[in-house]
Amino acid sequence: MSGTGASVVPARPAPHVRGAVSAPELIWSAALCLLPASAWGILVFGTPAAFVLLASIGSALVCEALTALLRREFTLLDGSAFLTGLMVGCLLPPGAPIHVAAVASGFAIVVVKQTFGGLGRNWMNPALAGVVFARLSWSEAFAVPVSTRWSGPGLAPLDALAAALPGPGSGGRGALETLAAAGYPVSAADGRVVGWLNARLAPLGVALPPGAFDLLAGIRPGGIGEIAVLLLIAGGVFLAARRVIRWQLPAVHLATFALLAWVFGGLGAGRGFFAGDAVFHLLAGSLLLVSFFMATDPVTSPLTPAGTIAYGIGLGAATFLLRFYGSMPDGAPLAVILMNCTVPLIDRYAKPVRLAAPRGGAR
Amino acid sequence: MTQAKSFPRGGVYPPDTSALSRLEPLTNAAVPPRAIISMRQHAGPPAECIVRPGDGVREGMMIGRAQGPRSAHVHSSIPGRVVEIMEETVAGGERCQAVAIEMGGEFDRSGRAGEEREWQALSRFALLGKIQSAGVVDLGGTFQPAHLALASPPGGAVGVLIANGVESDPSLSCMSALLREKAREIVTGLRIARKLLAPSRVVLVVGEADGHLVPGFERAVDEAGEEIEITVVSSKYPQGDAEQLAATLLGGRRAGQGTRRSVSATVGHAEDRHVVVLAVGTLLAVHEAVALDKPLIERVVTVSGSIVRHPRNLKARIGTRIEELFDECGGLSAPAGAIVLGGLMMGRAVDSPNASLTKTVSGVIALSAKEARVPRERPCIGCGRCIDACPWGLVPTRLYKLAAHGRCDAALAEGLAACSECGCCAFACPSRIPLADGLGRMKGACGAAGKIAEATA
Amino acid sequence: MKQGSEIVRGLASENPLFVLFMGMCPALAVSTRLLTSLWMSLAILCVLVASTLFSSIVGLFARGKGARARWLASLFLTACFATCADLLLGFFAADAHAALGLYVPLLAVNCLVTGRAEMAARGQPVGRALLAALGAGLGLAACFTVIAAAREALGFGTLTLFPVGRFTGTLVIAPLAASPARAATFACGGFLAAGYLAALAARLLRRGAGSGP
Repeated sequence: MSGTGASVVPARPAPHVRGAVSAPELIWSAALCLLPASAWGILVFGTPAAFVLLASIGSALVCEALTALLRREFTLLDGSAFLTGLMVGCLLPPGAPIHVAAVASGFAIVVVKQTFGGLGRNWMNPALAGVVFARLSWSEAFAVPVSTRWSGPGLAPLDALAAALPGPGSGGRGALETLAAAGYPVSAADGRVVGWLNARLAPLGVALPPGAFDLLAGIRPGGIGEIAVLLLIAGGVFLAARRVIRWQLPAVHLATFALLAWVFGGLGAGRGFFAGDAVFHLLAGSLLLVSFFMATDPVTSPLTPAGTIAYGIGLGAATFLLRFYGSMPDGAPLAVILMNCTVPLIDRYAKPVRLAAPRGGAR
Repeated sequence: MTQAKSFPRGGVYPPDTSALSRLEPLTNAAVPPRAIISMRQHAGPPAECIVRPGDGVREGMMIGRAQGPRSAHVHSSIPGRVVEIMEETVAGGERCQAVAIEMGGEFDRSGRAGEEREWQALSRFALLGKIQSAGVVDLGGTFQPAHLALASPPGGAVGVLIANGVESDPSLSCMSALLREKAREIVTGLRIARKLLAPSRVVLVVGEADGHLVPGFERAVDEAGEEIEITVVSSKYPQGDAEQLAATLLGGRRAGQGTRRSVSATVGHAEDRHVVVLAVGTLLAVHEAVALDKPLIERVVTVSGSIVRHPRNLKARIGTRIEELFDECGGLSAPAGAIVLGGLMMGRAVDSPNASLTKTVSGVIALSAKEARVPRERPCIGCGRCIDACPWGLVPTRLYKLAAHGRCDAALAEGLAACSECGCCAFACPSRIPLADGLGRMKGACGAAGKIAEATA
Repeated sequence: MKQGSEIVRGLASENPLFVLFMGMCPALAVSTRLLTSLWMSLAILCVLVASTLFSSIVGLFARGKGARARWLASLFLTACFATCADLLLGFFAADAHAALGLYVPLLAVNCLVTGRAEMAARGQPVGRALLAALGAGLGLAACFTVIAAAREALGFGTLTLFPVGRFTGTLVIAPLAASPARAATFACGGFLAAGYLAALAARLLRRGAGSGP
C-alpha cells in the first residue's frame, strides 16, 4: 500500500530535533554546583558532616527508589533525589544525629514530593520543608554548639545573636560587634587578617569587627553547606551563566532583602533607619544557599521572567520580615516556603504579551 | 549589515544542517517510472479526480479538477497511463484519492525550457486564470491556492508584497537553491505579482546564510528594471513563517489588533494596509504558469540527512516516490530510523519510503536510527523555556495541560488559536514533552468541534 | 449507596473523619495523647448519642412547628449534653479534663454533633437516628484512636493508656522516645496524619479512584 506520505499518522511527532539541554542535565548541574560548598563543609566540620550528608543523600535515594517503584518507574537517574538529599544535608548542622538527617530527607522526598505526584508536582520546596520539619521536631539538634577546624565551639551566628540579645541587631552596635562582645569564637586566621586590614584602614577611620573574615571565608558554625559563601556565590553565578536558573531571582531576592535590611534592620535594635547590618545578614545564615539553590527550583518558582521578579521581591520582603521579626532566627527557609504558596497566583497573572491574531488555514 | 533584524520575541536556533545540501548545485531529478499523485496537495477541499484507470494521460494534463474556489487543480507530472485510483487518508482524518500513473509515451516539454510568452498585455483576470488553471499553490507557507493569494484583498490596497526567500527550516536549503539559480524567473514572478496586487512596496527577504546571494539577485533585479528592496534577516527559527516575517519587517503587534489573516499575513498598521507574503518557489511557479503555460508538475525539494550519501536540492516531479529521491542522491549509507517530509521542526515522519512527493513537501530528510530515537519524556519541571521560545507569546506548558484534559474553551481563551505548531516549545523543552504535537492535536479537536472559525473551509 | 447497617456505615462508608471530613477540629487539636483521645471519643460518643436521641424525640413533637424552633431545640439539647459531658469528665478524669480544656464544651457547636442532631430533629425515626449516631461516634472514636496513637508514638515516643494494676498506663517505645519527632504533636503533624489516613481509607473503600484531577 503506497500513499503519498501525508496519509500516515506519525509515530514520532515533530520536532525531530531537540535542544541540547535535558532536564536531568539541569538537575545534575545544580547538584554539581552545590558540591564545592558541601565539600568545604566537610573540610571545616570533619567526619560528622560527611556522615550527615551521606545519611541525607542515602535516605533520599532509597525513599525515591521505593516510592517510584510504587509507580513502576525508576527515577534516580534524573538527579532530583540526589539533589534534594544534598540540599537537606547542606542545611543541617554537622552535629545533627543521623536519624534526623535521614528522616528530614525522607520527609522531603516522600511527603513533600512523591505524595503530590513526584517530580514537577510538588508545590513546596522539598528540601526546605524537610529541614523545617527537622528543626521543629528536633530543635535541640540545632542548638548544639559546634566547633570548626579552626575555631572553637559556638552556635550559628544568627542563633548566637538571638541568644545574646532580646532582639535582632544590637543595642547600638553592629551584629559582629555584639557577637564579639558575647565571646563568639573566631579563628586565628581571622584575628591576623582583620588585624592587618584594620591597621591599613585605620587612617580612613574604618574598623572591621572581629569575625568579618571568618564570615566571608566560611569558618563558622552553621549548616554544612551554608557557610562557604564564596563557593555558593560562585556556584550560583555559574548556574545563572549556564542558564540553569534564572538570574533575576537571586538577584532581586538578595537586592530586596539587602535594601530592606539596610533601611529597616536597625530599627529593632534602636539604631534608626538606614543603619541595618545588611552585609552580615546576607552572609550569615542560609540566605545565600537558599536563594541560589532552593528558591530557584523551577518547579516551585514562577514560569515567566516577569513573574520571577515579582516572586523575588516577595521573597526579599518575606525573608526580611521572618528573619527580623519571626521566631526562628534564620527566616530564609520559611520565607521560601511561604512564597511557594503564592506561585500559582503569580503565574496566573504574569503572562507574556501575545502576538498576532488567530491563524487561519490548515496544512 | 551588523545585526540582522529578527522577530520580536521567542524563537530558537536549531542546528543548521542546511549546509549539507546548500552548496550543491540544483539538479534535475530523473523522471520517475511511476508517479502517485494525490488529489489533495493544498489547503482547501481536495480536487475531484477526473480520470479513470486505463486512461492515457499526457504530461501536464489535468487529472483532478478543483472543487470550489478554495481548491486547486492537480495535473499529471508524467505522460503515461492511469493504473490505479487509490483511497488514502490524509492528515486530519479526511479521505481523498491518489492517482497512480505508469510512465509511457512522449514528453511534451522534456528538457526544453520553452519559449516565454508575452504576458504584459494580459489583463489581471487573464493572469489569475492562467495561475489558477496551472494549479499553483503557495509552496512555502500556507499551501493555499496561489490565485487566492494574488487576488486583490477586499477593502484596501496591498501595502507590502514580501517575497519570502527565508528557509522555513534550518535543515532545508531549497530557497537558497532557488535564489541562486532561478533569480531571473523569480523576478519575473514578482513582476507578475506586482501587476496583480499593485503594492506600494515590494521586498525580497533572504536569510543570513544566503546573504552572499544578494548581489546576484540585485543584478537580476536591475536587468529587469524593477524596484525591489532586498533585506537580509536573521536565521532564528521560525523566521520563515509569514507572520513572523511581517513582524520582523514591519514591527510586531499585540493579539487582538488587526484583522484576521486570510491567505496572507495581515498586519495591522496605522493605515491598516494588507501584507502579502509569497515564497520564492511560488513566484517561480507563477512565472512558469504565466510565461511558459506550464502547470505545477515539479518543485524544488531538499533531500538531506546525515545518512544520505550526496544530499542536495532536486527539481523533482510531483508524484516521485521518496525512495527514488534518495536514489538520486546516492542512496542511504545506513538504514533510516525515520524519514521526515518537510523540515525537522515541523515535518511529518512517515514509516515507509513508499511515500511520494507532493506540492506541499519542501524537504525529505532521512534520520539515522540514533537520530530518530524518541527521547525519554519526563514530567514538566516548570522551567519556562517553552514560554521564552514561543514566538507568539503563548504559555505552551499551560496549554498542553489544558489540552490533556480536553478543555477546549479554556485553551482557546488562552490563545491556542494563535499556535502555528512551529515546534519551538518542544525544541526548547528539557523534559522532551511533545508540546507542539499536543497543541496541534488540541487545535484539530477544537476545529473539528467547530470552535475555531477557519479562514478556509 | 446505602448498604449495610447504620453502624457499619458510620464506621466505614460514612466515616465522619475520613470520608465526610466532619468533626475534625477536636480530632486534630487534642489527638496528641492516646488516653486523652479515648476520653474525648467517649465524650463525643455520649454527647452525639444523647443529643441525637433527644433531638429525634423532640422532632416527633415539633413536626410542623418550623425550622427555627427545631434548630433551637436541637442546639439547646446539644449544649446541655456537652456541658454535662464536661462536668462529668471533670469529675471522673480530672487530668484528661484539664488536657482537653475547651474542646469538650465546644462540642456544643461541633458540626458533626449539631448536624446529626438537626437531621434527627427533622423527623428521622428514633431507632435509626440512634444507630446512626452510634455508628458515627464509633467511627470517630476508631479514627481518633489511630491518629492519636500515631501522633503520640512519633511525637513523644509513648502510648498512654488506662493504668491497670501495676501497669502505670504509659507504654514507652524506646527508640522513638529517645528522639521523638515533636512536629507530629503540632498542628502540621495532625494534618499530615489525618491526610494520609484519609487517603488510606479512600483507597480501602475504593472511593476517589477515577475522580479526575
